[in-house]
Amino acid sequence: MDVPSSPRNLRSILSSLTEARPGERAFATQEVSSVLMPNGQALAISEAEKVIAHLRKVTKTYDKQGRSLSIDLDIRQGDFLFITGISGAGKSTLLKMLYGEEKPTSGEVVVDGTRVNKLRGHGLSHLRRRIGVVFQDYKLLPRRTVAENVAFALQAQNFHKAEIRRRLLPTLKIVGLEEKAEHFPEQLSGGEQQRVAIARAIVHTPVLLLADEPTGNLDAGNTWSVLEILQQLNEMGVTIVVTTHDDTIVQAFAKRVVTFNENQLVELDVR
Amino acid sequence: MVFVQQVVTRADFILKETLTGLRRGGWMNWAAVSTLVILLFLFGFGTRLSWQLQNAVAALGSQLEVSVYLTPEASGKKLLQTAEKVEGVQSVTLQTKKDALSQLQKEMGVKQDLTKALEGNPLVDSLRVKVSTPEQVNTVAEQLKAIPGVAQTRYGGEAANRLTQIDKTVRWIGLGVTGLLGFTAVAVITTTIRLVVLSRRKEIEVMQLVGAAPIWIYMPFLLEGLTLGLVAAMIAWGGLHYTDQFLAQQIQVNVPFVVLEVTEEQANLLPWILVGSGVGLGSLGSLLAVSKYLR
Repeated sequence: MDVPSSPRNLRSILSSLTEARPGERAFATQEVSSVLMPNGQALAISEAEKVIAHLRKVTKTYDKQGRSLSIDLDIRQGDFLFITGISGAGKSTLLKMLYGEEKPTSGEVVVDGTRVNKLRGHGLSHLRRRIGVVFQDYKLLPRRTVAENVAFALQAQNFHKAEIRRRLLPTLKIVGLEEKAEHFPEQLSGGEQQRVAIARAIVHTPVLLLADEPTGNLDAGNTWSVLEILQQLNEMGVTIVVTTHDDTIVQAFAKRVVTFNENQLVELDVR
Repeated sequence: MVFVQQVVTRADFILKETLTGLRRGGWMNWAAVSTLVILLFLFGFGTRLSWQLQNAVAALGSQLEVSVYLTPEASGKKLLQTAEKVEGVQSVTLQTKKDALSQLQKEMGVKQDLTKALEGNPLVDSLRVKVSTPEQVNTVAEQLKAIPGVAQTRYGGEAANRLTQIDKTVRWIGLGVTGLLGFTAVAVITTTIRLVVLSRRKEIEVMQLVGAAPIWIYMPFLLEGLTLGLVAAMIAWGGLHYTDQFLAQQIQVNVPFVVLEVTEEQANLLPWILVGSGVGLGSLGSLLAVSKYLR
């Protein structure tokens, strides 16, 4: 059974990643009053409630009859936000608009101060360096080892070799896979593969982690361990948005829940 | 400067990706390279032949002299002035039949008077007409021929004309063949690279998701096409080099009076033309292959 390291260990591992060197991003923890931005300037966070992404008066037409989603949403620093709804309700579309894969029909999508609406090419790639994305089907590269898969994200973003080495092991420890660094994805269970995908999505310390049905292919045990990792990351200050149609995990983990009610995104009360 | 630094940092990553791509291309690489080799070989061969013909024409064309032979009755002294008035004529010198005979006598090494043996002087007066520019040689020769008392004209331009004609034909055929083959080569390269792109769809998707800059995603494919072009150019150049040596030998042995040469600059230029065309076509092919993924 692949159970990750205990939360206490994680906490110390994570804190090693939160110590940013000049010019690097660190995980922004709620206890820390400032984070280092990519340009090296310290940005003061006056309150934990800072909005780091929003969709304002967004509509997205999804069929030829002109039916469309309508979304108004603020994502705040430190959120562990669940987007629920039946499949096809628009959960994935919402995430795709956040990482620029789909364009809204109208309205405004802003992530970390960047207007995403019409972003393309270089601008889009720069936005995605501040976001991590996890998918239901993991999207790992089959001919690369776990370590290579995780390092691939850093290589693609021009990280120096030394920095890649510095980040690789702590990140693998977070997801409890340091022992399997040299394994290939096909040698791992589904849960382990998803944890590799999470490692790849957080290794560059993004301001926002998006997970699209991350447990859709997993059994109950693996679902639980993957969500525990996400929860621990959230406790360290990572803002996380998860889509799911599994009510059990929403009840167990969600701090905030939104759902699609007849194409309209609404917020639900969380007890 | 930042860009240069990034290039250096990422050089080994990109080169590794390029090599991986070339490996995955497999036999398609050979299809692309061999098409390109045939194209570049024919292109290089045609270019060199054209240069050789042009040089031969230039060698002939530098003889700007028209020899005008008069009828036996005509007097050179009288016609000299008429000839000078023809447009394009720079200067005219007269060679009387007497001079011509004594020159002939000298050339033949005959001591006694030839007029006796030949029963009079059988030669005619002739004019040596210098023309100002090579283009005018033709028309000047025709005008001179029209003057009453002129029997015939001779000049090197006739041969030059024929060579220019051949050169034109070579160039047109060359253009047609290379155009057609160029199209084929680009199509084959595009298909090759597109196969590699397809086999790496997943990598490309992940790279896009983690925020790799588009230029880094597509650089390996561009380098791949460029490499194919470079390899093809080198093979074609080697082939041209050896056929050139072989042909030069054959000409030396069989038709030693034919002089087909290229200048040193042209000889040095040819490999660069091949490399330029190969690299250009290779890059064009890969650009077409990835263009639909470039957003």
